[in-house]
Amino acid sequence: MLVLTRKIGESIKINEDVKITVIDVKGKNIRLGIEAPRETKIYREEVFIRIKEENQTAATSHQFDPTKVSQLMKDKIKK
Amino acid sequence: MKLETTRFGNLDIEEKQIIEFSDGLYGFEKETRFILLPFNPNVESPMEWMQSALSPHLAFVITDPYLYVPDYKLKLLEEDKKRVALEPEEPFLTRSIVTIPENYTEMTANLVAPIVINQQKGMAKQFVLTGMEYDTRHYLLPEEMRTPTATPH
Repeated sequence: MLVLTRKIGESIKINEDVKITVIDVKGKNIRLGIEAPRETKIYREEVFIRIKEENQTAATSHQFDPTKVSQLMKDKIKK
Repeated sequence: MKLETTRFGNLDIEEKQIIEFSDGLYGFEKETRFILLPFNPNVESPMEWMQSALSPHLAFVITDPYLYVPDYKLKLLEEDKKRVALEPEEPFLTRSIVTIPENYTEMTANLVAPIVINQQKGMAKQFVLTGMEYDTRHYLLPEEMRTPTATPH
């Protein structure tokens, strides 16, 4: 991993068009500002972990009666 | 072709029914082939099964999120659409993976990571929405329909 030290107000550039600036540091929290083209996807990493976990849970939670589940959902949609 | 499944037995399906997820699903990166099956063959249902064509035991319950969240916002960029071979104005299917716990009245849908399906070409991808306040566990039923004591069967 490349490790760089930056001060508040300093930035790093990734390729030509992505710029990440350290906006503020308060205790353990660092505020980052990111400038990037619109199509660049930027996520907090935890989002992916949550999604993986949720997919895992969804794949293993199958102890139910499909008829009852369908009926409940139809009742809900009718409302 | 024959498809072996744990839940539905051995199925006779056509290759064109298979939906290709070239990236797999998050946490299931090797699961690149699925088939959609009716949730309940005898009853009309807003849910469907998404059965893996590679792992007999693996199946997800999916549903159309717009049925429950009419103002659900899924904006795909041109780049995203290309990943599933969609033309800019071509319609596509949106599905959410449903988690059904033991108390099934507390079932939830993952609104953060919808599945986008290009039905014409049989291609799909699980996308992660950014800048949205959606939950990976969005309750499908309102509180008054969720019963804390519902029996699982």
